[in-house]
Amino acid sequence: MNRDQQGAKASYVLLTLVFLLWCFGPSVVRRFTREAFTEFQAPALELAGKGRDLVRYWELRSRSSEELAEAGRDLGRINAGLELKLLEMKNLAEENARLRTLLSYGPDPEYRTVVARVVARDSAGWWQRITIRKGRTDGVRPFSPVVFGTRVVGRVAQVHLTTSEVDLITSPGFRCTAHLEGDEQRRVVLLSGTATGSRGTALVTNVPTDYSPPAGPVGDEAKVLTTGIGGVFPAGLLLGYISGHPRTTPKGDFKEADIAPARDLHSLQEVAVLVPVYPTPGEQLTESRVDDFR
Amino acid sequence: MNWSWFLILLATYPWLLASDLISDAMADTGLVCFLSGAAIVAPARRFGRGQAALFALCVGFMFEARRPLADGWIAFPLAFAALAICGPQGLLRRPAAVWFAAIGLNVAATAVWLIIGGAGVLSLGTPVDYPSAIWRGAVQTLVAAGAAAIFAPFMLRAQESLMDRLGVPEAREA
Repeated sequence: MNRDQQGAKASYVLLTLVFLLWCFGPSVVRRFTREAFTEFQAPALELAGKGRDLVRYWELRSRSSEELAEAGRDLGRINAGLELKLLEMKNLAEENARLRTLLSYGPDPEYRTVVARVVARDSAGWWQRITIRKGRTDGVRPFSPVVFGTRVVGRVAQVHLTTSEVDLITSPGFRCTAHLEGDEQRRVVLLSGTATGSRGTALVTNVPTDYSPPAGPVGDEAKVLTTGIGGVFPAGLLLGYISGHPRTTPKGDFKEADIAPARDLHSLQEVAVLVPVYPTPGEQLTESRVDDFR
Repeated sequence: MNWSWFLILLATYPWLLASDLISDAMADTGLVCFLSGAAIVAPARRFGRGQAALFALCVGFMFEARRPLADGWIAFPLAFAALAICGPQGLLRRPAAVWFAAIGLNVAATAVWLIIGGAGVLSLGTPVDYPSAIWRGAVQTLVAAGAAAIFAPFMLRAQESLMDRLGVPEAREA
């Protein structure tokens, strides 16, 4: 065996040892490496996102003043309608607070909204993710809900310094409890992302066998709404629509159905992260466990 | 150890970023434009073993950083592949052989991340539609081969010219 072959053999052995150390060594090393390589790439991704915004800005600048005036008029009308609704909401909120005080109910979970631009979308058979341009410095926390209007987009999976990764509702690993429209008893079903299809789909399971979607015109499918259980998602947000008819599971004890997301998740330009004002039950649990270790 | 591997890494990053931006544009199709496998071929055939392995590790970690893949499971296979390329350099002296190696390695690395990703999803207990997953895996592998076939010649040329400027010695005879 010449020196070159010996060197090759030694380098394979060394790399195998490093790999074993990497696998069985402290997880802080792996976390640090991941974080370091994410932060290394973050400025370039931000720059790409800002470049895209600039292109959009110049595209909008090229619109004629007539078009802008028309859009302004439309917005004015929408604003007038919304002002009335705001007043209505204020009265309802006051009534709700009064009733909560009377019944000694705890306060509803409160959220702070962080609006974020989408800088990158990454979709494979095994994951559907977007990267947003807001991170730890903006107060984003892991597992915070991500919405577009009243529609759920996903949940924050990882938070970095200036960016965050969001798991879309169609991503395998996304799970959430839900209510189905048309179910008078408001029974809880489970929504989870599935690993199939190009655009990703979600599956709703544990649907009671006696449930059938409300009859309506074609294209007006039953809504799937968040329950608010667990304190992660506020109640009543739209997760998607039941696509097709629920089918009975092989065991026959429940039904399941495919879900079409409420929005084309890969065309989103901007989303809102709902950051809980107070620690969520999950965060409290983690903190107490950390305290136990101390 | 000199820092030429790091400079080549910085020069390779725009190609990896471009592939990420193409993946962004293709997000609707559920496919990823993967180039990390092809990116390690040219540096691996000219660098020494240590630098080649470091370069491949960094390229692998960059791909893993933003994706839900187990830490190191792309980076280390790429590093082993880089060591393998360092050996039979005679095979990789012809440009056509380098091009074929880039395509082959890109396809192999794609297969690795598809398997690792699948294992991660199965460990979560998520329902998997196997026929669809296998079909999508095959399409993704073809896309990776296509991406390497199209972009590798330009990327390899850029890497080679920078290595010439940095005075990295040509691949030795086997």
